[in-house]
Amino acid sequence: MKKVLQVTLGILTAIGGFVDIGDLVANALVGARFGMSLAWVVIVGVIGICLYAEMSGRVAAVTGRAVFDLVRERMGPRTALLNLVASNLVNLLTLAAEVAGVALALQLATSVSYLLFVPLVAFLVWFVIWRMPFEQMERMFGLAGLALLVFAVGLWQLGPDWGSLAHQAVHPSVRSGEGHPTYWYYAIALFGAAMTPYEVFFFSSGAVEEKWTKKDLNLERANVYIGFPLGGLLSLAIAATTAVVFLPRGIAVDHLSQVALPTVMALGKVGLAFLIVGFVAATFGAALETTLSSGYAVSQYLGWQWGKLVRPRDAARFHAVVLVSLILGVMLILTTLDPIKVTEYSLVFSAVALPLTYFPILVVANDPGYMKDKVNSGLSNALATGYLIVITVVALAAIPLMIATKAGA
Amino acid sequence: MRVLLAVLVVVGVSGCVGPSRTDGDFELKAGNTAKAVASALSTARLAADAAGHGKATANYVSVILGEAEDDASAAQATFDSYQPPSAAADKLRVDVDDTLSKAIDGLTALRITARRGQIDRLPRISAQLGPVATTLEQIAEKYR
Repeated sequence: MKKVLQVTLGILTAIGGFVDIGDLVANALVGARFGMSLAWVVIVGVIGICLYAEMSGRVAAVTGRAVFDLVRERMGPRTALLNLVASNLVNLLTLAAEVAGVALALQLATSVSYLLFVPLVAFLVWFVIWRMPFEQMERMFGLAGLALLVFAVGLWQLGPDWGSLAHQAVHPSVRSGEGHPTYWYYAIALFGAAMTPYEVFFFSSGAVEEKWTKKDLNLERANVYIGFPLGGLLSLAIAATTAVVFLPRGIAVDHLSQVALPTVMALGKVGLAFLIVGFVAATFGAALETTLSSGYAVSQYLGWQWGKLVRPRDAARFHAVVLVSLILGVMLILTTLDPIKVTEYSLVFSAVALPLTYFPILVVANDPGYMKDKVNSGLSNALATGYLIVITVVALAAIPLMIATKAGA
Repeated sequence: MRVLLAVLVVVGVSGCVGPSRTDGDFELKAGNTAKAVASALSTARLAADAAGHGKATANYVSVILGEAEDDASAAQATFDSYQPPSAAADKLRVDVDDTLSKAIDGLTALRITARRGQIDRLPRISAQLGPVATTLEQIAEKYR
């Protein structure tokens, strides 16, 4: 049982990071519009995030230092500053979207406007970060997020034509009425959702918080290879439910309430209850991750004391950054900007920032000065280099495609 | 800095409503609007049927119906803001607007009924909206 609970960091990172508000919406939207023909992007994304999360966790376990700390030291303050600014801007958008995601899930349960919940959710996020031990936090939200497995049960209950779903996934094509630029725009959004930068910052900083060492490398790998593929499976299940129910009816997904509808049709009120618990846990977990990631990145760049293991009085600047990030995120959502649009934009901007996050990780993971005998293997390097090329192409194509397709309209 | 500013401006205006210069362009906008409202209406009908069969809570169905109504109203408002380029486009505008209004009236009826807690009445209203949904789909198909 202890071993099982030890993989909760991976599950929280994956449920909160891989199946956050961005993934919930993006996968449902893509399933309703393209069927399973973009399933390959989820698989490519899972392999990519596994590769780089394993690297960042290994770096943390071997050096006892988190990624951002080493990036500044290895790449120099200017490059690291660019990385810091880009990833924190994306992080802020994501944080705002996650807080709104929790509020939207509570709206589904109560029918009270999500805007009224936003300040309450932000306070709870701050309170959990302030008071709850790291391990307890990851177990509570990581495991509650498993309620989202109800998507897979709902899909089975809908009785889909499995052969047709598999055919769409194995023979991807652009449906009539959709343009190739739109298809690739959503492919980039899905890829950005899978490889969101905060996931590796959180995972590596979490590894330091949990005091992982070289002895924990197997545990680290178990976290990565169980957590992220689980998140990927959930993503595919979400896309499949909307592909089965919405695609034949020409329904476009614009709201979290719609993401739930196919499962509600299949499983009724029990399914809805599981979904709401899962939505709250996943988005709350992601809100914790993004808020902490902002504090981690700034503190590690500036060499401040950071983390939840340190008494707040001793890491006052870390907690100040956390609080300011949270307040900025809440202010953004309280402008009444559509949270789903914020989510969609955060995914695309996330794709733009990817090379700035992943290139330094690859450099540090290959530096024997830090990693000694635990540098990347030849296979890891070959795969990681291939992914870096893909990531760079994705980053360059994201904004032009966003303009050309009017953000996927 | 100038490049960044230019990118931000282009991104900002990329979501703005464009003018209709030709009948073809206006027809395309009519088709897209009908598609958007048909999507909202189909979502609402599925939710209403699920609630009527005891599968969804009143709070959930109230939220999803309210959002569908808002989406449809926003799509109609955007369509109405387009300048019809000719007399033929004027006629199309009136015809499409008429169907859009019927759909939105139906969505409003669903939302009001749900918020009164009369969940068992939702499937009947949903069934009455079938012909409007079909007309919207036909418009969307004709002008795609």
